[in-house]
Amino acid sequence: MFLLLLSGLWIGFSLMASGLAGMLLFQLNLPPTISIWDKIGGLLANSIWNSTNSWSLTALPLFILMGEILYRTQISTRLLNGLQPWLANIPGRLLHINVVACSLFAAVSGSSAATTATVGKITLDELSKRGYDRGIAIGSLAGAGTLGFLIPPSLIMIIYGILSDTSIGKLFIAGIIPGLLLASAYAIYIVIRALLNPAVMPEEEEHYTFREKLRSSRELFPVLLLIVIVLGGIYLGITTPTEAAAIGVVGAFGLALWFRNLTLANFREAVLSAVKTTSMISFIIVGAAFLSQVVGFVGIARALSLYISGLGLSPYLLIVVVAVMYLILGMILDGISIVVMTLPIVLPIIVAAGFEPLWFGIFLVFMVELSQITPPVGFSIFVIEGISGERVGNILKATFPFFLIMILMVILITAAPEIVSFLPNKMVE
Amino acid sequence: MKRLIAVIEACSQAGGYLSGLFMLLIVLLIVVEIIARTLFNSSTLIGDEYSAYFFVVVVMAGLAFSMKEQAHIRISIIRGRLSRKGQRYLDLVVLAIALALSCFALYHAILMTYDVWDLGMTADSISETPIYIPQLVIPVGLLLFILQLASDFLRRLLSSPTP
Amino acid sequence: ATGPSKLDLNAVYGASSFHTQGASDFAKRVEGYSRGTVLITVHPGGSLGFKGPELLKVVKDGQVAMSDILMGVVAGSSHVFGISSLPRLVKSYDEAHALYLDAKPLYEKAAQKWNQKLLYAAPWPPSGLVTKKMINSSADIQGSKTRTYDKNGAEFLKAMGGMPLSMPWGEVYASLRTGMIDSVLTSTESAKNGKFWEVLNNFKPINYAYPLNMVCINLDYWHALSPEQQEAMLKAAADTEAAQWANSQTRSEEAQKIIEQNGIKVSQEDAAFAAELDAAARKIQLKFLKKAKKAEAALLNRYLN
Ligand code: NA
Ligand code: NA
Repeated sequence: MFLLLLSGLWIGFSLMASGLAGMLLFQLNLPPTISIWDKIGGLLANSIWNSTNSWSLTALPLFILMGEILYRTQISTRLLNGLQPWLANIPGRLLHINVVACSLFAAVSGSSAATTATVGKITLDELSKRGYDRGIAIGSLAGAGTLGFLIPPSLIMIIYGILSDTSIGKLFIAGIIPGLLLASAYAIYIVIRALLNPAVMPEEEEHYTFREKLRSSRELFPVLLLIVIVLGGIYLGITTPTEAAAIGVVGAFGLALWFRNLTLANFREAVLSAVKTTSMISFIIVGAAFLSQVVGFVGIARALSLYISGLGLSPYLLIVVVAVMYLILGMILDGISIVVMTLPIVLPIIVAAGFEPLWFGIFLVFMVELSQITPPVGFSIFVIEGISGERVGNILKATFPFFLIMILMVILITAAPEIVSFLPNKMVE
Repeated sequence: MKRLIAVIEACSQAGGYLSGLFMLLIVLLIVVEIIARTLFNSSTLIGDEYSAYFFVVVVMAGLAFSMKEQAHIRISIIRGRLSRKGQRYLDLVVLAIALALSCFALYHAILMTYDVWDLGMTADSISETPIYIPQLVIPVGLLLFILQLASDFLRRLLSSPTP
Repeated sequence: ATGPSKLDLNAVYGASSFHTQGASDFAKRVEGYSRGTVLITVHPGGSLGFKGPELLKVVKDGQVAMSDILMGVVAGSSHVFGISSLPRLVKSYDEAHALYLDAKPLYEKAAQKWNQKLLYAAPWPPSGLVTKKMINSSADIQGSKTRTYDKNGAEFLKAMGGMPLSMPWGEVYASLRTGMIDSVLTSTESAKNGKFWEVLNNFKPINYAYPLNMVCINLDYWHALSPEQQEAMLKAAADTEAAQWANSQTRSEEAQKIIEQNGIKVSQEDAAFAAELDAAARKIQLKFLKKAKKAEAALLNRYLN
């Protein structure tokens, strides 16, 4: 399978071809009247239908579309203007802008790439122009951009929820505290850097009166409103994630009209762009659905879980092994492929070891976030390379501390799973 | 040959628009459902079912378009290290595999849809929609996809190895 | 053939589910009776990637050799399989069993048409209404948001003035917690497994239906077995069927005790409410009857009167 993947065959096709090969190699106990090719073909056609005819998955294109529309509004400029006065007195000042803006934008965007691109497009230039340290600027963007997956809504959580039959609404809510903790950890790190070495900031300070702060906050209002509508609906149980996504699309559309950013041309662009991303992701899901059917028939998952439970690993050691495996996979694969490919095998093992599927969902999101910033294939790195024109080596160096902070957070949620389960258990009745 | 490629790409583009249209229809359907529920305390009762069917259209009609726009991802570590000539050969091989797989899928998707129509299968829902109707989208989408892959294949085959 | 015959059995529900356990017991019995010459692997939790409505066709084409199939969800493939999920056609395990025996020849014929053999069938524990507020009449159902699992359930509750919703089972608990839905049409067994006492307070055992779950084998695979192997399978199927019918009833009663212990109030319907429920059920039964073929209609008419 790795050979197929590395050959540069599209991932969806690689998964299909691996499944086909798997069936040909293993599925031999057929009655003479049934041809193996018909059986494989039937399974393939069936998995195309079953994996796309899915109500829960419809949340996916809608959140993508919402992000695409927002990307074409001036939302990031407004975020910057609105946040700037509030950050002026904190050590590290505007260096926090990436963390705060990404956290806010992550709450309306489902993907890390979109979060990184939308926020970075504005902030990186602005920070350099004002004389802030470029390394921290880039590193914090790479680190905080990945919050797009952890802070709801989240495409990864939608996919995980469907594959593991976990409530997507609960997953969304579970991501909030870990997401905010991670953002705070980044902020603390920036404060420490700023206190240790004031040279990372420009010398002259900007001062704002309270009135100016309030006035600028008006710029934040539309985004906050959208967050409240989308997440509030899920939290209060008025809407399902799919419905929240539809409301989000309408809300984003409304914002774009309000800001007067919407033309027919860029609306069409937004829709077509969402079509591209949706088909791309869904094609991988189709391939993975077929492969996991084959995995089921062949019994790989069963054999592997028997083998691993036979090893008698302690739950924590198991998690370490799984984490290392994901770090390695995450180097060359993108996050969505990792989740869909591994879940049929890994989830039963994890659940058998006594972990909650909800908790593992959040753990997996962290793994996906890490994969975004590890070489050679790291989507956030590519995005930042595109925006900043910086060399990949420099980006990686700048990102490394934030990578370590993420690892620390993974250890924290493993040691204290309540961080994940607290809010979902508190959801209002 | 160039005209053929142009026609195929126009088809893929049309598929992209169709896909986008159905994406908007999903939004519309769900918004109607929400309004029905909150304001009129009723339900369309087909909201879930039809948004899932529409999603099939979004994906299948969009496949060829996203291939044309090179939005499908693949790992290009090895490809990036090859010479131009090597890349061209690798692309041809990879496209041939993709074509073979898609044709295989198309053949069985047609069989499946035909069978489902022939057997008169309907959805287990209030609408009792004949399942072959939404399923028809799959062979059509795959056919578009195959045409697009074939056109990419031809384009590479025809291009001179050293431009 | 050399070596034992290996067969895959697709099980739709999770490994701890009553029907999946039945399938595992069946597999063990088959292994015993066939002296190890037929080995069945049960794949629980739909891990083979099938959802349900397509299962008759999937078994017909031999994509999987065997599967358990909830009859109601394949009624769109073969009308007769809708019988066991009709509301309030039978109101006790004895009646349900009698109906099953009467309908069995029709089921077997339909299975044959779909290139498969019905091995055994057993009922889900009967479904009732698990609700937040106490339900004593159709007036209490007005506007209540109830999760149902099939078309009949949705139409039934709609006829009672409710607002039925369908959603994946995985979303149900969270939706109850958040108030997106306030009731579920399901069995005591599922209410127990879902710990519904954390979010709901009442159970009304309206004996809504005793939906059957069957296990079928593709005929190509079946004919590839030796006569002795087939006999072993049939014997195991008969044993499993008897055991599962008994289990279903005990599990339903035990589950009811457990949810009561956990604070869910169980109350029986009174005559007036029963009449309202029957009237709503009648509409669905008659609608179903319209599409029924001759033999099926004759059978139904006996139970409708
Ligand atoms: Na997000
Ligand atoms: Na990576």
